[in-house]
Amino acid sequence: MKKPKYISEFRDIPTPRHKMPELELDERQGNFNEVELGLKEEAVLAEAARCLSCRRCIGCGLCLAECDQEAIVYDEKVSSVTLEADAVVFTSDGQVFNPDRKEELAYCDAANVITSIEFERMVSPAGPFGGYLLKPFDGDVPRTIAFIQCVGSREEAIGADYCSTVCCSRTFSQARQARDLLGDVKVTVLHRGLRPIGKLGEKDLVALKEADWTEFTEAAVIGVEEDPASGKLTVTYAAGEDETSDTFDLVVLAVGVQSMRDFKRHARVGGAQTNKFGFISRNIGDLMARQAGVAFAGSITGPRSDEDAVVDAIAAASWSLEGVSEPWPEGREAGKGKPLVFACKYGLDLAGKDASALAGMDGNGAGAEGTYPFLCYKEGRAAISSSIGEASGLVIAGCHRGSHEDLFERLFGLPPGRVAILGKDELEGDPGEAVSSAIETLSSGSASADTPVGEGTARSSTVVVLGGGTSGLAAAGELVRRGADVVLIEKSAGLGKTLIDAAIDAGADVDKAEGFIESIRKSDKATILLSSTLEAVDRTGANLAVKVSGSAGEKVIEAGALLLATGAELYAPDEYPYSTAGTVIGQAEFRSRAMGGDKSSNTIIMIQCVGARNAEHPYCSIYCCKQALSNAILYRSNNPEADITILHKGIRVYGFDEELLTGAVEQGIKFVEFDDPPELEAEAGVVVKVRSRDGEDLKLSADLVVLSLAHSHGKAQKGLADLTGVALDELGFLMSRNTLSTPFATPVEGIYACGFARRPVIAEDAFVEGVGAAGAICARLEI
Amino acid sequence: MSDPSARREVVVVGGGVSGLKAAIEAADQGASVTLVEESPFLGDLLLKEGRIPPDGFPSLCLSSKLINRVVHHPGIRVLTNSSVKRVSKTDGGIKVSLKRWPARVNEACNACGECLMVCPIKPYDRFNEGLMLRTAIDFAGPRDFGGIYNIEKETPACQEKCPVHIDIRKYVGLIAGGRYEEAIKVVRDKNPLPAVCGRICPHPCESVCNRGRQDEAVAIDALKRFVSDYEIAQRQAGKFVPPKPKKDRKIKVAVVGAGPAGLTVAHDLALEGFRPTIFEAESVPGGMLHLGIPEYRLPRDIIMNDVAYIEDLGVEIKYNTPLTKKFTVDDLFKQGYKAIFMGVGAYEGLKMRVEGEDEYEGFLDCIKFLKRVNLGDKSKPGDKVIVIGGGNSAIDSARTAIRLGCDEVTLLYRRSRKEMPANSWEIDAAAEEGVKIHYLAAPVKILGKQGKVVGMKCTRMRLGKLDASGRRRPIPIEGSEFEVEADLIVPAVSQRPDISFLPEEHGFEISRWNSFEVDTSTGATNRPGIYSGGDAVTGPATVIEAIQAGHIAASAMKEYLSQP
Repeated sequence: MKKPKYISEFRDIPTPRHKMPELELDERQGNFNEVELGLKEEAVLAEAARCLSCRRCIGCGLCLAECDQEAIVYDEKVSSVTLEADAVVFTSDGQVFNPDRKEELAYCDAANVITSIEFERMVSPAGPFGGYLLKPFDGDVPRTIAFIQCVGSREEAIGADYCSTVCCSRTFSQARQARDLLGDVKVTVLHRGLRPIGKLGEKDLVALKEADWTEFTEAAVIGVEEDPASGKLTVTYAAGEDETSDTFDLVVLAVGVQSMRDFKRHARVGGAQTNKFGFISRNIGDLMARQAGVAFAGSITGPRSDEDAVVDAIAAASWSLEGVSEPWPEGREAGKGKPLVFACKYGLDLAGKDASALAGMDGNGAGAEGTYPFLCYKEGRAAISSSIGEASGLVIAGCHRGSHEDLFERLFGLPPGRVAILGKDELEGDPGEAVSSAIETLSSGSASADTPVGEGTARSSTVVVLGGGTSGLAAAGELVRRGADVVLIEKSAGLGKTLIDAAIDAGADVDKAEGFIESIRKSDKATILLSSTLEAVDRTGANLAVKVSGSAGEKVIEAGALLLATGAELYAPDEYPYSTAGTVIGQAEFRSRAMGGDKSSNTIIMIQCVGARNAEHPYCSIYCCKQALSNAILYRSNNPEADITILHKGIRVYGFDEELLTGAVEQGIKFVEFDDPPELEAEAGVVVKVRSRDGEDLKLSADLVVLSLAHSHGKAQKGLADLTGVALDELGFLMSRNTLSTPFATPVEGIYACGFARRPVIAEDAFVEGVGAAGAICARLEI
Repeated sequence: MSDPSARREVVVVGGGVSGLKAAIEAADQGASVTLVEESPFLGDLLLKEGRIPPDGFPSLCLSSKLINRVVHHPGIRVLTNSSVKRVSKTDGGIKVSLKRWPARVNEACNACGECLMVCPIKPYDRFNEGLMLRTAIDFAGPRDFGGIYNIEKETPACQEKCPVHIDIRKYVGLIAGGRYEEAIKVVRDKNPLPAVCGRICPHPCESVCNRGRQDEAVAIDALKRFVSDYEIAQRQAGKFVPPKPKKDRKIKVAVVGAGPAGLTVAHDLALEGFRPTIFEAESVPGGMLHLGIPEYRLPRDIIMNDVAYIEDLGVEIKYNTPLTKKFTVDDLFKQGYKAIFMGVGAYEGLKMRVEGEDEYEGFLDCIKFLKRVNLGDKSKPGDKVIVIGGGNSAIDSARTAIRLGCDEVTLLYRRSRKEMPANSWEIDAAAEEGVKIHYLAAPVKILGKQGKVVGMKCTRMRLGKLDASGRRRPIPIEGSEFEVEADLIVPAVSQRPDISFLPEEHGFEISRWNSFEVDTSTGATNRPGIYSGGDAVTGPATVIEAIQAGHIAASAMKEYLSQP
């Protein structure tokens, strides 16, 4: 926030303090008359008004006098509350960097320099500008907007030498929203390397880069200057060797995420450590060695996106619980009347539909009368409440299927399956028809299409976990702890290699990882089937019949839930002469060599994004840059003379892994950025041909080429989808029912997914996904 | 499992996206969840967001869903306005101690919004990142998810700084609204001498006023003076109704000295239903207020007004009744007084320790000098007067001498203007009125002739390193001596309590500065039932500090007297 907390520049500032009138000097001789004469009433009133610019309650009591309800307890004091808990979950959204600390950005002086959070408030339809994007300087519409990235991130000088992770994607959404709101607008993003998040982030970025209204410039911003007459802003920045200036109507500072003072205290209670930036450490070792009764979630552990925060929260909730308790009683009963139709205007707008498309619907007549700006806000809730009466269900048009059903059910006392939501996809064709068919389904007495099968009937407490990688093991461990019976199915002959590798990478104790795996192996609640594969999934009442084949023959397990933790496949390149033992190898092989103390290669070239961020796999595998950097640093530390060059499409490391990038640069590891994949020529050794982003054609020879092979999905994933009926998204990941509300539940009742099978993750996130999925499954089990 | 008391108690700290989701997940799985959030509303950063991510799931829909689920969940209790103070592990559990900031609006609120219309305070709306204003009473944050009205109110800097913590903003606000009668009541709530303080309080509150950072501090003291003058006018017009003390407890209490500390003790105890009697050595009330402070700063009728208010509460003042070696505190106990407050002030002037001091006639300690004038002797004390010292008494003496018609008044201070403890505006006034001020000058020797003072030899000083008082120690500059003519020298160096009235066997613990040793949190001396405060304990200090000491002692005495 730009403004100082208390004093505001109101009309009464500056109003000089009223001087005390005094007896004239010559009138003071020979008497003891009072010198200070006191202020006259007029001056007193004006002087007292000066205090009102101290903008906090002054205790004048005017509200007290007005309040008929006598609801104002004026002198209520601070009180103390003591809670006795079995478990505590510490969470935070973090706090944003105060750009006032970077004076060159003119944040406090220039009206049209705003933070990304201020931008959020402006474009929020529930915000102070009613969803319009205006220049604060004159209330006019901005035509040119610059986003300055990494304000308060990736900067050692301000003690924030880490990537705040969320800001690039936030900027992309904001750029799009500015375009949607204003139409004619030009957006420039001044960045120091773009790092989108989420599986859709890369696609989003590519599309934005191609748009004719955007410009992405890699630049170090030197300063912002305001023209006091027009409010226009001149941004000076260094791009490459050149120093350039451009003028913009609006500058948005993509402010980073900072830790808060409390974090350290909370860490102490939980037996956790904080890193040098004040966030709670969350490497895989910490996650495995979590203390009973205390859990952490969200940006308390470092900058987290909403999606990550939700996953963290579900995992933390599970960690805070033991066993499974009875749900809270909720009196929910459906009437016998017709279902009612309501529409959310905001949702319809997002779907590109008009409320008139719903006019003349059945039920309550819907259409315009049943449309509210936000159905789940006060006004909408009140409208539904007052008319629900004997209705047997609700049809909600313009909302989020798979996410908001339970909200409306609980708000209006309806049993599960009595709310049908029509989201963007369902409204695609003829909205009227979609509504009619939803009403029909609800009125026919049968449940809606999304009704959970066999809800409330006896369900097996056995869970089949498919996959013995990091997320699968994390899930199995948590399910066992919560009291479920677990059957862990692993297609290979061993268990836990990825978890142990991850522990080594994180510098954590390998014994800890081995101990963790051992505890699952030893548990009498867990059955481990190695060298086994999933054959079929059928339904038996409330349960699933999971057919597995393996060395011990075929077996059908009756399970309450099936968790798909199958990870992803390593990309097998045919564009490079890849082998596990030659001069063109993968990062995994290189890592073993480096760990074994290999010194045989003097010139090493790493090629990033092999099989990733291309047309076929338009997403970032997330973990490969991190792996390449740490491998390069490891190799260099043993062989200080080794010449390592990393060919990349923009290094993508997030959060505190930024340290790896700065470490690599400090060690003298070289970087060349490319657009088109490098080519190899096999001569004596290998020659790599690459055109750098600057347009320079390079021919680099190397003893060893290390390929950063993408994790991606291919045939196996397709097969899994066919077996289970869980649909794949456009990128080949298993679909979630809703990524933000129920991330682990797939659209198929009883089947869950976690880890790389459903979105690209690094090892730590894979572990948390496993725990979260276990928690989500426990919510539906009877143990 | 079916026993609801067996539910697991989970505390979730933080009402942002992760906190909301964790609370819902744990409660959906049967836990009894308490969600603790520091701000008045749930949602934290998530709730501010209005953007639409590429997956088409807007932040607004996420925050609305999460908050609605939390607010309407039977298994979740929400504690907003609460910050975690301490978390400690206990046997098998965790204890979480919270500090809860009051919302100051309770459930009876029906959100009619009338208060919003009248609230004169418009702070920047922090939820909206300062893009708009709100009122001090408002929904903090959006009002759609079970939000409650909340008054944003904390102890303001001025009130914090005031030794007696007068609710300054409240009375200033009332004054701004023209509601003087209520305003003076707010002042009187903490200060029994408002008219006096309205004139001579050094007003530390103004030094921390937020407005001072913008332009100049609000003239708080002048406003206080205005409303107390208003009260005096009301009293004169017969429109003033004195407050009624609590039920008579029929317990006699003795207060020794009618200075600000003693008057405060008597005032507080009288309101509580005790029967205080003040034993005053002089013929006038007010102590230093009357004897030490000149009329041009504090007119006598102003003192009398504040005293009359206290007398109206049933306090009796016995004038010309000093404690002596023959009339002691023990005699007071014998007369049936159950507790005693020793508010005897600090009247003994300290010596300058300069050669020739006491040798010649023409020497008058500032307290004796001011007392003489203030008790009515307005004769000219001499033609050429030197005052030595830099405190308020020194300035008062100099300005008084000017008014008595002295031809030449010189003030010597051994440090520079910056270190001078007197109020800066008083120093200015003294200079304007003709007082010659020599900074960095100190007396070396008193010059006399035929038994009378004729002048003083002085030396120039320079400032050295910081001394124990935190001020730079003055060091004489050799060979810089100069002489000033004078027929009266008024030392105003410092004072200490005059305890010569105490009998040999008084039994009090006395410090080496002759002050009473007390427990500073209660004002209790080492003798049971006897309390002390004000200058008698601290040495010379301000009136507001004496009032503070009076409040502290009165409240401890009340407790002492309430014991069975």
